[in-house]
Amino acid sequence: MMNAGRKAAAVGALTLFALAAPSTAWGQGVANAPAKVSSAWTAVSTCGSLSGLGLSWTSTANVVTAVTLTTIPAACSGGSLSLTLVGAGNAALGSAGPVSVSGTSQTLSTITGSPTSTSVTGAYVSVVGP
Amino acid sequence: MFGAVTAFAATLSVGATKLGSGNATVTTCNASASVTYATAYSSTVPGYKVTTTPVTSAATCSGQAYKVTLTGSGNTSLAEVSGVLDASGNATPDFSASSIAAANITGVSLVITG
Repeated sequence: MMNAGRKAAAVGALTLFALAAPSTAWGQGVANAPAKVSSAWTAVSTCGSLSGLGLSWTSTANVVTAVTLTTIPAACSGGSLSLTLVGAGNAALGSAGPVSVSGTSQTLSTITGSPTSTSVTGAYVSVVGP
Repeated sequence: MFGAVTAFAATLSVGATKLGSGNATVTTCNASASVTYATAYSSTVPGYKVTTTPVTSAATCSGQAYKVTLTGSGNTSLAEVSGVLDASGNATPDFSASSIAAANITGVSLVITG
């Protein structure tokens, strides 16, 4: 089993606040139509740490054909998960997804790139949402 | 959710013999907006980086300028992208060139100016 990294980003919903931009009226002129400015900030929350994910794979003729992830944080269910298998120098060897997270354990059976299992040194995972 | 709100009243200059009065209506083109994220693996990060952060607002914000800022630990700015909202009030700011690791993003700010 190999630990996989990193990380989940959630959708940010922002409530906009109206700001009146500085406006100047001279003499009898009246600034009755200032520029509209809306501004908001929101925290980007995570559905949980993905650094502790368990990862194993199935290989056929030394090619990774499926990857199983375990201990996916339950809060990530419904998120969009992508995985990249890397080799020396963090070069991408193969990838899977995006797929919808459906539970705390999930098998990704469509792996692109035909990565050679003996070349895989790590994996990176991204979950966006839910 | 936190929002910093600052309102500046319109300045009215009154001359010695002239008098003007009026008020400025402070409005916003829409009450809310949403920002989502698209990611892609980068061997230089290494890890997943943010590629785009699609913005969805409303058609009433069409043609207005926007700026999206991704922030990290300590509310430091990691990257900013600005542009103009399309006819639907949406946009797809591209952060690919900034190579911002998704793992480092803790907040997002959006400003729409019209």
